[in-house]
Amino acid sequence: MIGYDNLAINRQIALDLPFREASGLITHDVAKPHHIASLAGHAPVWGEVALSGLGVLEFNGTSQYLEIPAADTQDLDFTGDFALAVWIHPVFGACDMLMCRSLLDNCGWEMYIDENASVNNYLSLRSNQAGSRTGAYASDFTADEWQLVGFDYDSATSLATAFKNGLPKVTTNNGGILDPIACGVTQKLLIGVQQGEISNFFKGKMWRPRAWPRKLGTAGWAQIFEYHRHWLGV
Amino acid sequence: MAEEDKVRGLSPNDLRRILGDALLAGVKLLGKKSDDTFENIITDDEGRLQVYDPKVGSLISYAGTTTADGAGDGSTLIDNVLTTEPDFDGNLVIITSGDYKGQARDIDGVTTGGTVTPLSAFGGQIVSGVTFVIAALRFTPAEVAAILAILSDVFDLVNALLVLTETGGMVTATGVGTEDNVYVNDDPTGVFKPLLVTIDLSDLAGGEVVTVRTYYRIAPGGAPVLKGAPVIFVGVQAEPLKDIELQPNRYGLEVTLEGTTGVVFPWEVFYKV
Repeated sequence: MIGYDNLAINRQIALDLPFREASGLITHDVAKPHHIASLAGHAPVWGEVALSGLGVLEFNGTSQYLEIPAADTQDLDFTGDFALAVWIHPVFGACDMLMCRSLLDNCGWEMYIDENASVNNYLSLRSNQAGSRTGAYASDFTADEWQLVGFDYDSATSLATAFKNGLPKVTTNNGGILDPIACGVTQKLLIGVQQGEISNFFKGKMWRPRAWPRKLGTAGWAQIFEYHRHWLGV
Repeated sequence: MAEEDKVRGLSPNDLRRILGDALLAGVKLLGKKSDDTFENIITDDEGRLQVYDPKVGSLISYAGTTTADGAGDGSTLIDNVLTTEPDFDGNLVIITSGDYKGQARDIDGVTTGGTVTPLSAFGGQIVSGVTFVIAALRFTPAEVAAILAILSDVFDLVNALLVLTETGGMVTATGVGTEDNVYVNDDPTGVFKPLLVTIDLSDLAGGEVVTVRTYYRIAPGGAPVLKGAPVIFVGVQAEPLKDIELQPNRYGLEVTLEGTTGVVFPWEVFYKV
């Protein structure tokens, strides 16, 4: 038998939303913390990948997102190494939030995509500190196709590395990133919208947002890509 | 080529130092071959002798200079001359000048369009005017490619193994007459093996009731169908953890409860997926 927690990639995993419900207004975390993400009041649409039938969520870019209460997500208050990963099939807008638990120039982290035709779009990681913020970004994140995107953040070197489809991307760190400041119980985990829940809505399809309080490393990123790529036709 | 065919001689610079510029005027440097014929000795623009060694030459498929800037992240280099060359997909490309001199990558894609796509990006953008070499070296020979294909097949099987997974939550009963979802998988990707839902009835007090139902969909489309008789629990439970065993499924299932308003039911599910 293969046990979820016996897979090395799942060690210390703090969030894993595989969207298996395919109906309703909540979706459950299969990682140990059992986070429950709510769709209520701003529900993206349950859909599936035609190729495989894999269940995904479709966001309209104007009003739809997921949320998990601040009090339930203090285990996602990363202040050292961490990794964020999610499969996306984006329709680019100006700036679309993928995942965040943050308050701008105050605390926490956020990962978003930016439309920029000249560099085939950016994926950015932002870390917030008191009164300021630091960030990293990489280019070449294509619209209208499935791709596994995310970041490893290394606290010791203050460097983040972007990954796409299991491979590292050349990442600009602007002199280094500072560790995020803890948000405590003040900020929700939001998927598909920025804090405030009124702007920077993600448009497109999404599957399996995940987070770890550690880096995955090149081998780990290759593994999670190879493990699921066939479901998404990549 | 026979050993004696190798060209040996002084370079024009050597001769210029020995004879001086005046005496060198009009002199052509030739090399004598074993059949007593002569051929021009090739030098570069700075007069250095260029020796052709077929043993080395056989390793070089192509040497060129980029004609335009490649992708900003180093994932391509561009040389329009490649449109006149055969395809070098799978060979090794080596940067020989510029910021990323010395970096080598396997080529991952056809090159006859004038663009070389490395398997992984160079350290940064390969700008116009950078020299590079495509070596006749393939680090994924046919035998290795065959092994990789087999490994890929094995990996597909590994990916198909079901993984024991768990999740859970908490349901606050809406009230008698309304079914609340406990565990739902309404549209599985394929066959999977739900095993067990455990519901904690510790919050159920005297006079309160909860009814648990399990529904399965056994064909595509339509609503899930009730399976087995609803299970009814009334009042305080001496053994509050109740198990609902589940069956393999392909098209969807759900476990619901209908309970006294406000009673809270924590639950946990195990399934192989």
